[in-house]
Amino acid sequence: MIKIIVLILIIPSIIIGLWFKDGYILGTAEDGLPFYNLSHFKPEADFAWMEHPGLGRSTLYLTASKPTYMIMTWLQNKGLPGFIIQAGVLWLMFVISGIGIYFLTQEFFPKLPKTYLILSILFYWFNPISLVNVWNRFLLDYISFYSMLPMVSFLFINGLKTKKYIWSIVFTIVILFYSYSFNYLAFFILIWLILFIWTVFFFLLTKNGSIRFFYIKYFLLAFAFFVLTNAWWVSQLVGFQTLKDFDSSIHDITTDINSGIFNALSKSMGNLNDVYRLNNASFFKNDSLSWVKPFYSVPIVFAEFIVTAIMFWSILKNKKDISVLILAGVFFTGIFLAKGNNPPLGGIFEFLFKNFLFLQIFRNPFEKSGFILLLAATPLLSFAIFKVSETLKPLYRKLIYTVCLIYIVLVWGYPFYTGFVLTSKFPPTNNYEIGYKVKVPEYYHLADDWLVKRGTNFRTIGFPIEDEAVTYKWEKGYSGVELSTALFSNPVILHKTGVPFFYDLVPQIQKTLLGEEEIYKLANILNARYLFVREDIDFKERKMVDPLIIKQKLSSRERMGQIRKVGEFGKLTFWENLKWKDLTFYPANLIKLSTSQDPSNLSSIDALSGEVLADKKYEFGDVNDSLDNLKITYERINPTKYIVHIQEAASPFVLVFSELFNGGWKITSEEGGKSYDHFRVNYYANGWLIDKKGNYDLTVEFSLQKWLDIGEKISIISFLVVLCLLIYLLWKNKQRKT
Amino acid sequence: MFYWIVLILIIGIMFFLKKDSKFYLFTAFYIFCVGAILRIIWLNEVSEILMRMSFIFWLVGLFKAFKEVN
Repeated sequence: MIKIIVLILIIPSIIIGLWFKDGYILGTAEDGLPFYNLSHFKPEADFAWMEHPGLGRSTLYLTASKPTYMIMTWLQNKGLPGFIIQAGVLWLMFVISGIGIYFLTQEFFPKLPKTYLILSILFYWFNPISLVNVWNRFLLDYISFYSMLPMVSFLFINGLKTKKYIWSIVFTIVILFYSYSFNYLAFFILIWLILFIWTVFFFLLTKNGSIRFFYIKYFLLAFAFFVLTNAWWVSQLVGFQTLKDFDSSIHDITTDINSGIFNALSKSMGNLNDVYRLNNASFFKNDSLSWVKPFYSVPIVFAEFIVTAIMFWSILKNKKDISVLILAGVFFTGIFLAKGNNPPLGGIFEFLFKNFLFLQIFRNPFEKSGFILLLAATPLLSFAIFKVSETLKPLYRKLIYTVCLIYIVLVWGYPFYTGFVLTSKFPPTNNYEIGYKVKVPEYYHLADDWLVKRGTNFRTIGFPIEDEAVTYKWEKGYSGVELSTALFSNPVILHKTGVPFFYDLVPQIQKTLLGEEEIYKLANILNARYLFVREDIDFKERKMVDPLIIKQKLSSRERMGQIRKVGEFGKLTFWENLKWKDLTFYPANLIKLSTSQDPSNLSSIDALSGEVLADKKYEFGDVNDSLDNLKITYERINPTKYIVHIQEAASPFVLVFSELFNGGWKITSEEGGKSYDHFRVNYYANGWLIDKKGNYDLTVEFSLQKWLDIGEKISIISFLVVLCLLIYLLWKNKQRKT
Repeated sequence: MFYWIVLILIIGIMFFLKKDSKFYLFTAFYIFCVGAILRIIWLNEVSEILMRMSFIFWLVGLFKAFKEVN
């Protein structure tokens, strides 16, 4: 046992030590750089609305990461550097995955010798799926899910086997520590699909009606506990469905687009030749990095088939063993899902994919189903190796064990020790000296401090602007999604991302800047006070406009008196919009009606003169009166709540709120809670027709925050109830024994 | 379509020849081994067809094995 504990602690310590020995944080792909400044990400988890990126968006299930960010931000506030916190988190994930798979394998095969349990731990750590889908992908929610999967499966299965409800409680408490995984909604669906599959196979292997009924009750009870204790983020998903304009609040990714992706990825990654070997075919191919090439050489392909063959051999030789049957059932379910709509029987999955919306998470079938394959294959493989070696003489037994150990640790562990696993084919991560290591230049810190000192009531626009992905040419450079949230405290418009309205509006900004129209009108509509150019990006790699061209354009606009250069920080140059005024809220009385609002219309809307763009379908009556005496001030309580003070309103007007339009934004008057009609203005913003005269206050709130607040209370109460229940049941058990 | 026909044929065997799970699982295993050898010598397309057939045999074999255990 001590050997196993030492192994579980030592190997992750060595690997994590090697990864972080130079003191750099690691980051790439969709995750960005949360560990550069964790406090920038905490509001995303704390509130139902976040002000990043650029124009804001609802957080929904991103709030699942709240407990994790609370702890990590606390550690950062205590003075721990980001790279140490990141190293600690990854070490913990490694260790817990090892402990989890140890218990899961032992649960299925209690008589398996400890040495073979060690094999299962090592295989769960070092295999093609963890290498590519987890560590090379390097997304914290994926890593967290990978880590929790064997542990929560073990706890859940223990309940099914012992037929005791207490395990559903333990499962509920443990899964709470992994709430970060549900930051990505697909993992909420995937974990319950996996638990459902376990339950179905246990259900099928008994004919006893009362046991079957227990399985159904146990599954439902675990699910109910899960929903209640996770209510702080689950509640928002429910609340979201109740919004009047909820369709306009989600980016339009249709089933057709998902089907297209599903078809293409099934074709490229769903061949059984690859799936049986747990191989991600899009990774192990000719255009990969040099360290990947040996992994699709003949000897390794041969070895991979041998591994699968041993596993298959043990299935057919032990087909009467219930544990083997269940694991084989789960494994082949995983194969069926991982190959997508590829033959054979791919039509069944395609039908389900198109008709059951929740299955859209499988649009990249191998990526998601890989977790199922690995979970079932690991205990099966260690059992299979044991069974094969049992048939051999002791000398050969040792030999085959050693060969397996060497194959797992040296071949599949090799990219981990060398750090190659943290490299990709995109520059600069294809440089083995850099990989995912990132060193953000000090001038970003200086620029952020400078911006914060200027207030929090404006936005900044960074150029050049393009799609979500960016490459920075720093000493330890970066390739992945744009880093506006990590780098800046205030909202910055820096890239185009899949947020409704924001996505189509962003290209218009750069188009206007490079054209002849005045930039201030559009900048004011976006409440942008500063514009900046960054010259430290690899604009050629990302097919962006040359920053020098943008710099020249900004300089020429400076000569025309539209903007003024106000600061230079390393490779960042800032200009100020000279006609900027805080337009977070502004009253409008000159309404330009449009049949369909278009971002190109915005350059002609002068918010400073009370102009606003609105849909033709709305009736604005006598809004056109003068607003000369009307004054609007506001207090920002938090990202989801503002108090707007209206003074001397003499006639109806449109109140514009320059945050991204979302059906969740509501406005109520101070007394009586009168609500006003909500509509979209200025292409992306919120507008309300206010017909009340005189002096009064209005409250602008994002309604999903209430769902979050109520959900939070439900979660805390449910957690305490579940904890008390656990203590009571343990006490009762002890009493019974004595 | 081809694999649906294979599946129907295998189900036909199951009904008429009353073979036990061992037959299907062994067939699946041997087809898998041949497929693997062909893949190693870069006959990927033929190998893939065999792997797919082997998959059908695994499904039927496991289905039978579940029934037998019950």
